Amino acid sequence: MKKNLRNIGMFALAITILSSCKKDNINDISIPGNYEDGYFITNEGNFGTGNGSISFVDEYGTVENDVFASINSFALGDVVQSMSIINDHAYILVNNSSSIEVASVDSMISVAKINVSQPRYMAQVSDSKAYVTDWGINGVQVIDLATNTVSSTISCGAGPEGIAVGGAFAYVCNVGGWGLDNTITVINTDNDVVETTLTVGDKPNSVVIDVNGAVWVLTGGYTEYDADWNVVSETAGNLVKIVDNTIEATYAFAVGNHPEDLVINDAGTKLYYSDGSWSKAVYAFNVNDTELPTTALINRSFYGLGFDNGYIYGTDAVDFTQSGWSYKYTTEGTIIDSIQVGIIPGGYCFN
Amino acid sequence: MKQTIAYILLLLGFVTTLQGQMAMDTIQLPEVKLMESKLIAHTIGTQMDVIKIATFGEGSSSDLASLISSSSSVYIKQYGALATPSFRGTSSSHTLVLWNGVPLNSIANGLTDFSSIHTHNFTDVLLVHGGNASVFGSGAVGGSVHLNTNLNLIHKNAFSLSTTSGSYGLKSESLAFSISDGKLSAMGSLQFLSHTNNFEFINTTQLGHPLVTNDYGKIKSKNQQLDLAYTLSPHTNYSFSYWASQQDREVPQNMTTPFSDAKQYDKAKRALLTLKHKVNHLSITLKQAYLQEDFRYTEFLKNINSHYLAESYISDADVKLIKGNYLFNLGGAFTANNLANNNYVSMGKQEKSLAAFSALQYRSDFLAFNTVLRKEWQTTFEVPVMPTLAFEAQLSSVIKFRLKYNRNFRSPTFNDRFWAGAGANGNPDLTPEDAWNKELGFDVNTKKAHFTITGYTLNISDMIVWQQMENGNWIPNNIKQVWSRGVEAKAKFKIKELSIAGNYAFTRSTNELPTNKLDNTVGEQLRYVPLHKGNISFTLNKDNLQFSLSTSYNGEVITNHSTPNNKTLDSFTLTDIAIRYSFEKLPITLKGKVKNLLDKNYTTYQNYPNPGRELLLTINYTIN
Repeated sequence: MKKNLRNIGMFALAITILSSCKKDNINDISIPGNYEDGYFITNEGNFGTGNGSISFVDEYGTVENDVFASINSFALGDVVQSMSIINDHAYILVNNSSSIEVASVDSMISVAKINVSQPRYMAQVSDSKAYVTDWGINGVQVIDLATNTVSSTISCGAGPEGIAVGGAFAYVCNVGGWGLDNTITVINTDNDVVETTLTVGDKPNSVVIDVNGAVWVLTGGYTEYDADWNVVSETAGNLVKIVDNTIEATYAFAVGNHPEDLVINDAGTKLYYSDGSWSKAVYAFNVNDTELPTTALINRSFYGLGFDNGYIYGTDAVDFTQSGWSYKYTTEGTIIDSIQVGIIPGGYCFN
Repeated sequence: MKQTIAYILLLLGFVTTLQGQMAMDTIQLPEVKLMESKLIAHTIGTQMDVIKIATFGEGSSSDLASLISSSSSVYIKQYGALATPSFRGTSSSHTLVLWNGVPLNSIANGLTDFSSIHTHNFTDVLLVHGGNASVFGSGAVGGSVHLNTNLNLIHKNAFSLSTTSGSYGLKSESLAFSISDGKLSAMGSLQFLSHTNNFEFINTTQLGHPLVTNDYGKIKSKNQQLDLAYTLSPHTNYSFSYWASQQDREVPQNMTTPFSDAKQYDKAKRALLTLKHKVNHLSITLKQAYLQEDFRYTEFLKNINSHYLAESYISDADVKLIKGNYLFNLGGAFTANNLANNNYVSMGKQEKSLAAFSALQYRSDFLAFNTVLRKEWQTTFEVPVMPTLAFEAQLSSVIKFRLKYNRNFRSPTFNDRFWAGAGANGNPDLTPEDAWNKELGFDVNTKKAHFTITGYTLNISDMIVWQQMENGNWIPNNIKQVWSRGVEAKAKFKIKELSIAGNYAFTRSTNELPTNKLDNTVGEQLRYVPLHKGNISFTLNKDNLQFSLSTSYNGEVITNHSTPNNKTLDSFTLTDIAIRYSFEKLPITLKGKVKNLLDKNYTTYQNYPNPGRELLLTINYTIN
């Protein structure tokens, strides 16, 4: 079977090279190795074993696993954290392999490798520049998109995690990394200088920007136990609205809950996130709402959450050693599809 | 509760039978039975491998992992800096390691790292296949490994110096002595080892599959051992054993990671005082042991600096009474464990436990049976009564039939219960894992050949598994159920100067309970358990020359269950050769060894490379 996969890979490679010559003509044909119409799922893989991977789901909902390794005949690496598509290139952030693999997005053929420390998430800030949050440097790596190299670094708080770009600023969630933090670093993307640091609540993990340009940050909250597992201190998670680099509103979740995975719909009008203490559920929040919803939209715990083209997506990592699953829901919370993907599916990348 | 009563009744039943039969028995068992170790006293119905450690002072560079892998059917999993055994498809914490009868498994994590144990100063290593928890306690579920220093084997005074050099910067020096004057026997050794481990491998995870050098895997270790035995009178014997070891190593990461700063420092001190006394048909053995384990793991790039200091005080008493063909064995152990771990919510944890043990045996030339009951009292969780029923029958002068049925357990470790931090929390409500083992086998022993075959079935329930919860935290729970069954066979025979030995294990170990509603692996072979494992070795002895060749086969293993095809690691076959030559007129022995003779690429853990061909040369100088 392994050999077959490799053969398919070689075949795909040949097809892709051919197709890139006369791309306009065969653009619509869905063949393995042509990754234009569809979306990607990043599968972290087991920490310490280097078996992270990428799954591709085409426009018909057919899944192809291990797309990077099968095309390039080498592994992505250890803990595939996230993927971003910028200027027709896939940037795959491999956390524990300290690398960013750069591949042509329509063929998945590797074109460059950027060495960093512990990369988490990436966001484009201009035509020539992107930011990568990196726990290993407690800061942002500035990537020169023309050369695919690190041009400089910007210091943030502890464990920079989610990042979003709006207006002239990038908003970086300092989740704490291997420690604890409660801030957002706001960076001026023109000169790569920190504009301000906002305190939003313990463990900010994800950030999105709505249709009006408001910045929404989700913080997870923090629980500390004593020797007998009694809670010593606990802080609530918050949904924080930032306008003009000032906190405009803070909506607190129930203490003991740890909300995460803030995503936004295509129109930029509705937020979705997972909330709960042990078992989580997906909730929807209209950007004009003034209080947190009490009824769940999807009563299910997802390991990763995504939104694209009118659909909500969520992953289940099962037991974290076998192949995980990805589910597709309507915005009303009705399940419409499920596919089996790689090991520990953690995130989505939509083109 | 009902079960407990049943087993007490069962034991009482045997006692009544005992009284009825006692008068009829006139056969006296040899006195030596009184002095034999607890292990040997309870081998009825058991499949066991006895590995004699080469010759005094030699083999200074051999670690327990490679010794076991090449001379038994036990599967060894090697990754990073760690090597752990898997008996009968069980996981690494299901093997109990005992040093002269004292349990060595870490109280923090339940493991024993076989790559850090050197076989240098043990006189014999015994591998017991199958559970033994009703005799030795927690952890002896899949099997147990017994490291022994038997001073009775010393008959001469000797002093020995050895030096070993090997590929990839291996250097080892050792010094050993043994003295015996009939009353006092002593044996000691000192060993230093350093290994650069800079082997080359093909990095299949990188663009173009380059040939690279493993530049992070240095090991430095030091071992000191001293064993003393003093025979006060024919009735009384004292012995003292001390074993200190220290190992510092760079922990290599998988081949997809470009660099690592992970380091592991292991320091251990073990001391054991034993008193054996016998009067007529009664013998008493008292043991007092002190074990200290100082473990540190650092990975500063990830802000990891983990440290624990574990101390165990074990007092053990064992009384044997022989009446005719019957052996009555009573025992008790008191254990105090202290553990200070910077990853626990409150740094220091203390626990005390008490165990009581009773056994009744019958042994004649044709029949033997053994019944054992063990009960342990722990402060934070309940341990059920552990029974063993074993039976042996000599069917003919050469064929023996064995049968064993027993219950085994593994207690949750300190880490399982008290860990806090780094995204993981222990679970204070865990209960012991429960395992029922049934096995039967035949042993064929003739003057020139030995053949053994064993079939077993082992059901483990309430297995502790660390799972990532929906809030991202890892937490252990008693949720897994595993069924292991299989066949183990071994054969040994001699044709003139040539000895041939072979081992084979067929292991089917499956998940029996979904740990999650999406769990697709029920009925599937467990990860990292090969269906087939075997080895064969040929040893030729001619005058002062010994030549040996051994080949071992490790079957394919599943690394991750997935559809349509599971992710696997390929099977591999490794061949080693060794030559040993003793000079007639010089006190010198030369030993040469080639490991992985055919320079095979193989992996026992996903994306962790192993060295290719390795050469070793040992020069040993011994004066008697």
